[in-house]
Amino acid sequence: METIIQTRNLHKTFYNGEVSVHALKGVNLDFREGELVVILGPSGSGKSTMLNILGGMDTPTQGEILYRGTPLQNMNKYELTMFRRKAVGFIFQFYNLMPNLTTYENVALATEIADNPLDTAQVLDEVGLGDRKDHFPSQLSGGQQQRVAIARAIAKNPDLLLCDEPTGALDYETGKQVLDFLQKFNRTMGKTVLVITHNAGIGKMADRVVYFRDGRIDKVEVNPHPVTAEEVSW
Amino acid sequence: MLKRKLWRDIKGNYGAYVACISVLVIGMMLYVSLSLTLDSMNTSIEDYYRKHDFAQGFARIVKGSAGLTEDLARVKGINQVMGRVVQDVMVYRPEGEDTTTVRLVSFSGPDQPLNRFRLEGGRIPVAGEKEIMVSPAFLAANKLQFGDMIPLIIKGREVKFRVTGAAISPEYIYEIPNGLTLAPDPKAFGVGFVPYSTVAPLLEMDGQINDLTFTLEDGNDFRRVEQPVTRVLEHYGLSQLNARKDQLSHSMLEQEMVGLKASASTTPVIFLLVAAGILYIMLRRMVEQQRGQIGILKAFGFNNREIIGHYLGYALLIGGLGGLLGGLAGSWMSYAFAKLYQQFYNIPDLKGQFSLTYLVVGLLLSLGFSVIAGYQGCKGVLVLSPAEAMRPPAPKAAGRTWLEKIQGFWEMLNTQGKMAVRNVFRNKQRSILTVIGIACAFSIMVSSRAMFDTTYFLINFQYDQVEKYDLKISLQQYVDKTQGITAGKHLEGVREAEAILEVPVTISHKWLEKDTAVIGLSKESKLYRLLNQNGEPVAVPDSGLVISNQLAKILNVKPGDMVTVKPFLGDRKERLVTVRKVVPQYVGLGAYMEIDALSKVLQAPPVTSAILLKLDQDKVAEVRKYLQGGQNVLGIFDKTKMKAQFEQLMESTSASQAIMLSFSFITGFAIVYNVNLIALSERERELATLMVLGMTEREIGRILVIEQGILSFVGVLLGIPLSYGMLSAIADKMATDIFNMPVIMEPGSLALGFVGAVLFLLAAQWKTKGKISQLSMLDVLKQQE
Repeated sequence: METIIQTRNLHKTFYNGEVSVHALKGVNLDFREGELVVILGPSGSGKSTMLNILGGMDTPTQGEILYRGTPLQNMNKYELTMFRRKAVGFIFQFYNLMPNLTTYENVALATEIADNPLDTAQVLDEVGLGDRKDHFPSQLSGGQQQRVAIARAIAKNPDLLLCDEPTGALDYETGKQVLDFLQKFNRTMGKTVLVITHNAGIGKMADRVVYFRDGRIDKVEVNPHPVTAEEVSW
Repeated sequence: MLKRKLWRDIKGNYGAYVACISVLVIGMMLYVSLSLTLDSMNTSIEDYYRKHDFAQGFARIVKGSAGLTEDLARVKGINQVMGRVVQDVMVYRPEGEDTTTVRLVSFSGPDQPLNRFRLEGGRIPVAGEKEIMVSPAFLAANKLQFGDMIPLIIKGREVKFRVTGAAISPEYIYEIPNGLTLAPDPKAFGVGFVPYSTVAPLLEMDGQINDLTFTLEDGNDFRRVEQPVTRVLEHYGLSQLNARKDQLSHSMLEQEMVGLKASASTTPVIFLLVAAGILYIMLRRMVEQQRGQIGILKAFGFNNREIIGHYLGYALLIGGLGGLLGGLAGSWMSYAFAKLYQQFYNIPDLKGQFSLTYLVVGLLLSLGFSVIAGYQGCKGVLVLSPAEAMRPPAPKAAGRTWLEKIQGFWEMLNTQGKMAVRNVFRNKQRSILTVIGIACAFSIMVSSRAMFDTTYFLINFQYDQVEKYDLKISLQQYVDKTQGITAGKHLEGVREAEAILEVPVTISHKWLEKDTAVIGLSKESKLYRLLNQNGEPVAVPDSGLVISNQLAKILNVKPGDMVTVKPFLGDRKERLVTVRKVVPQYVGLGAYMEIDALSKVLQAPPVTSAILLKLDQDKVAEVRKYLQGGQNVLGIFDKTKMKAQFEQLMESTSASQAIMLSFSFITGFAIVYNVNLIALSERERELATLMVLGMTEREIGRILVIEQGILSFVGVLLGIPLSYGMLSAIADKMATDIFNMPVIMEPGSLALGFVGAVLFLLAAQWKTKGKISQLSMLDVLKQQE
């Protein structure tokens, strides 16, 4: 499988007045096309920072990051925006939907700026919200809102889906539903999905599990037989 | 400690405060400067009138012995009387390039009883010597220096006068020759003070006078002496008798003050209200945003009074700073106003001033507005309980808007557009205030420009549509009409010549009466046309009067009514005349009649008092030069020159228009910028999400632009009727006997307002752009909603 994004000796230091925090200390990681990777680690281990840099929301202090061979570390704001627009879908713990757009419009907002989007109505059907398309976020439950967020991320048809604690604000059953959608997207569309969590149970559904500790990769586990989202438990 | 919070909050968002304070400063600056100017003009003029014994009654006769003054002084109710010789003469210009008229006003000495002049430089002419004093403005405009000679044409002969000094008089504060002149033109007209003993013999009026002025005994009314004065003077050819209120310079001055008062009482209020609106929005937003902090403060045990006090601190600070800066700037501006007024009015001691009173009044006003607006904005604090306050507010239910029901409109928008439209409706109150603010800014731009349109309309109406001649030759004495026309036609280059007859009269209807002049016109007059509402010529009827709408209003007459006309000339007998038509007129109280019919009213054969000439443009100067020495020529009025000068004058006052434009621009900018900042802080999370989705800053900015564009568009739409209303109100407040302002709004003014609105929208957007790129996606998205 082809490598889609890779990092070489990635460092990130945050300066806040006189205090500096070394969040990433030389990370080397490759992600391959169609892979589902789970990054596990305690708070402050650097996993979120890693995700932000992979998604073009932040830039490394040192080191290289290559998307299909193109370096991202020297891109300007506009180029990074275009990278996010074309290649990346994000899912957050808190859904970050537009409160004054309906379900359908929230998804359409993303498809309108994408080059090769999926059909909005079809995506909404797939996440089981076809009958809620005219509802506003305030009229939806948390799980439904997160499904809208997933639909919004998927509908852009990105190469890379980055999920930051996607189940963190959801109850057990709803969380599993959400994981199911992520897995489906990964399997049926062959897209790379990266999930950050501190919930070790989720690791079982990944092709690979990367453990972060103190800004470094602690270990990498390859999972030859990932289970389905339904079988995952925590 | 709360004070420290106040300072830090302000520092963090200083742009919004600066914008709000600017609008407040503009309002206070206008209030203070206009009020100061008005006060200063009032006191300087009153002072001037008192110190120089400005007369209360003015009479004009053909000729009478100097002893008439004693006869007049015996009239009960009259205090002091002064007789003199007043005569308009022309300056001899061998090249014929310009026509300059000097009104010779005789004086007996520096301590004459009434209308004493004020020496501004040089020395007083010596009795018997051919010496003259003119106004400083006349001196400057004609590039004269003390010691220079002015050649005047008196009784057809050139007489050289030496300029010995500069002087002004309360009678000619506004130095214009007659009511048809809209603005002073010191190059074309000036008053010359000459010793009686010099001028009387030159005018062949030794021992005689043609002008009397008088004061009244305390508590006496002009109307009570009018009849007896008329009886004393009517055998001497009384042609004019009026009270101070109708004296030309005084009435023009009064009118200016009326306009000034109108501006002082309206314009600042608009700016103050807009500033109050901005402050209200800001504080309301701040209280909403700091809900959690308020909860914590309450939980700590701070009471409502302390917390409200804290938030009112912002209002007090803004109000105090705005009032103080505005007051100081207003004082400074009053100096500029004084300078401006001195260009047009000979008012001594008119200076700008620093007034502690107005500073305090302004400060209180500004604080008052701010505190009321501030309290309204932050009173929401009161109802929150600490626990409630610490919880996030119940989310505002987002919903559809009625705009979505408009077929086709909603489908036309992309999702970004839909977002923008719904955002407009998200906070209706704020949107409404924004729309009103923008409408105000737009209207001020439009109406300040439209005032120009109106003035141009007045000039064009009078000088292009009504008066179609090139030169008007006023005659010393009436001549036979045909003879006058023939003489005019024989001048070289003359294409058309028409005779008119101007007769001063009193027109009365029931108990209402008005002094004015009837102008006799030939039936098919082409050079002086009467026009109806649509600008179409109105034929002069064979008999009866055509009067201006303003005069019709004063006399309460309509076509068909009979009025009494009493001429100041001829046999002075009252006659009943029918009003045939009423025509619009904006300057003056015109009354018109067929010229021969008017002669008949005077019991005279067909005569004329002035000839109107239409001539080849290249011959104008020549004809003027030829006529200026004419025995019976009283004055030459060059319409084209007058119009050009007036237009120049208008251009020179465009600075004040520019100031108003920039004030309203700042206001519009302040509104949009503030609302933008609020939108940014309120929607940080949404905007950051859009960035993560891959929207460029430009695209995100566009959503804000569409939002503000919708608000601005509605504001502009609302601004159109608002401008019209503002203009009508201004016209209404400025309307006087001699001035009737139409409401003219040219498309150009609206376009200007529109361009202004687009510019302040873009400027605010440009300022906001920087704030968008400072948004941190990472910080915002990590927080819980």
